[in-house]
Amino acid sequence: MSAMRVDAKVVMLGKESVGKTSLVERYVHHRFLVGPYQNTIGAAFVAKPIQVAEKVITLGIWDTAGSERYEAMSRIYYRGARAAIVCYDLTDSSSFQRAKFWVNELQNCEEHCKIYLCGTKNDLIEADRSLRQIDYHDAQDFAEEIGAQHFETSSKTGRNVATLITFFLLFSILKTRDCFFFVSSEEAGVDLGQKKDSFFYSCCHNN
Amino acid sequence: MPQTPPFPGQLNTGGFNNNVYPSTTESSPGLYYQDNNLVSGSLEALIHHLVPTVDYYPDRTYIFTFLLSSRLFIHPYELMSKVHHLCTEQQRLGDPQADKLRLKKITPKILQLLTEWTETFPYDFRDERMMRSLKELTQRLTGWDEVHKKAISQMSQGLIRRLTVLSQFEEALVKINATATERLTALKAKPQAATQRDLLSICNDPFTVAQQLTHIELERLSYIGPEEFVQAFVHKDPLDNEKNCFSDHKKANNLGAYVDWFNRLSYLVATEICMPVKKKHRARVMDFFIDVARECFNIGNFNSLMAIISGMNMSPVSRLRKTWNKVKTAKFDILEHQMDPSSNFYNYRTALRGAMQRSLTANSSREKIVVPFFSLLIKDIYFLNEGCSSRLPNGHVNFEKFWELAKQVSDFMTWKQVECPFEKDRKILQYLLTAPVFTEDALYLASYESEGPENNTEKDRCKSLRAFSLDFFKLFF
Repeated sequence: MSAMRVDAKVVMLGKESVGKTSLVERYVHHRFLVGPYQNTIGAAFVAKPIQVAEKVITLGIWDTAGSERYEAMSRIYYRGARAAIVCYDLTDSSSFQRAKFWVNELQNCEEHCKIYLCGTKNDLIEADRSLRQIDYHDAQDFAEEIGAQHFETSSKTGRNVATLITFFLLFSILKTRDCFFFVSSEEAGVDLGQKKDSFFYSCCHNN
Repeated sequence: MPQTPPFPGQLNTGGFNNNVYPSTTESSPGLYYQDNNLVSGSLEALIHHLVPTVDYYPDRTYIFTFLLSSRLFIHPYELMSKVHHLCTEQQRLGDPQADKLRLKKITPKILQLLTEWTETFPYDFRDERMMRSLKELTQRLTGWDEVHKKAISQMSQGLIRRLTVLSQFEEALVKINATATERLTALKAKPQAATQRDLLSICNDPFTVAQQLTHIELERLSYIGPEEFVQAFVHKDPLDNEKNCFSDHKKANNLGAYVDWFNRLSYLVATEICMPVKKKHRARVMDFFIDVARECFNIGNFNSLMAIISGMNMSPVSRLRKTWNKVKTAKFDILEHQMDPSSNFYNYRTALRGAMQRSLTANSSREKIVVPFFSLLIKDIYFLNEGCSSRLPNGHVNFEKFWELAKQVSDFMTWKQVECPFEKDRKILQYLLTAPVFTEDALYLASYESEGPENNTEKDRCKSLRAFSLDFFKLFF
């Protein structure tokens, strides 16, 4: 794969098998582990170009899945990230502890990195409420305490996946460009697969 | 150790010419081809395709690929018993009426298959059920032809040797870990002794240290079985979750031990840097590790290189700004650039291809060395597995996926067979493998001792760490 210019780096963090990859898959390929064979070597890094008004922003999404046991490596991955999506599995309380660990790391080492706390596998909860191990409000409180956005997502149904990434985009663009209107956050959150990746409308732009 | 010739050239050449539809009439129904390449098939048909007949022998690439990936669907011992069954049924082994000529033809082929299995996947045979099946089958074969007795005994001896070597390695690992723990306990009891020992006092030549690191890498690499890559993600496959093929504890976990080694090396590097009280000394240690890392790069030992870079990037080390100011960072920048994660480690992948090329045309054993940055190899394989399903909607095995998997793993098979040409230095090896290393918290504490906390977050952290541990050395691993 060739080198590609990346405008903003997003890193996916979280305990083994919380569903980091599914989340990326869902967002980038609009699918959930179905579909024909494709060469995935290089999928650990996904460059996703997104149309924002007349500009194209390339998101570099870093998935750390498969290498969680390489603890010493983590900083290499999140260094310089503009945003981190810290995932935990709604049905696994230990994964929430691990998420707290990552948040701590990021706050210590990457003060400019925006944190998104993301509870995964919401579809399992919807099917059987007794599976929930992490209370929504507890997670929400934690998110507020650390100044993070909090979402509960399902890569299977697509719930909130687009909203999550959209929030990230909004943030990163507001930081780098001048000013954008965020026009359709509610709609955008429903199902990315049916819509274009264009959520922003620019009101003024100098560059 | 006699090994079946390695796989490069068979799988790495791009075109999979070896999988062409066999010219014989023995090919099983239920296999699907595209442009002469096997793309899918039912599990039964694929098993048939593995078993030789009088005028058919599967190509080696297929044998490797199927033995590697079939374990996602069926336990190796079940596969062995099916192979056993097919050999017996089809070739009427054990039937006194069987045509002797026919047996003469088929026996060496079955033996060949078993030999390949025992040589490439010896750890499968730690399971008694496998051993039993193997014995039964070979007994049947010898029962009819004395000529093959020698070949069979050679095969068994080779297998036993491999399994013995594996057990010895596992014992050695246990011993190394025990020594490391002992040294840690001793250190906790007598912390004063800690400052007296460091890597530089044992060896201050970065070339030698890089060579010893390469020894450790190649040794650990050589014990990892190809099947361990598949075992690593087998439980995560939702489609094939009904029976976990790897619940038995006899499976090898040399892959895990290799990951541990990477973490250990990173922490060791960070420990060596954070420990010295004097800035000048810390800077010297940094300079030293940069030289070690550079030599690792030159050798083709990318795993140690990356572990050292990771260690130097750990926050307790990277925050030592005053120390870094005294270090010649230009050299380090080049190395970091080589291992930069951008574009999915594009630079590293290029360098790796270069090293593989050098290895192919090597004039010396030194030039043969390729130690991959292993975390990325695991990750590539992980994504290969995650990215596409193992079965097609019709229930057939998605064999295209497994050709790709085998290709990835066969590169590794080539690398792990290289013998390390450098002379071993026991003292350095012992230090690298067993010297006590700091935990993350202890690293932070040492780091704050060296260069005080700079902002409020650091001050808070430092305070809480100090309050938490009156005894600094409680924080060792």
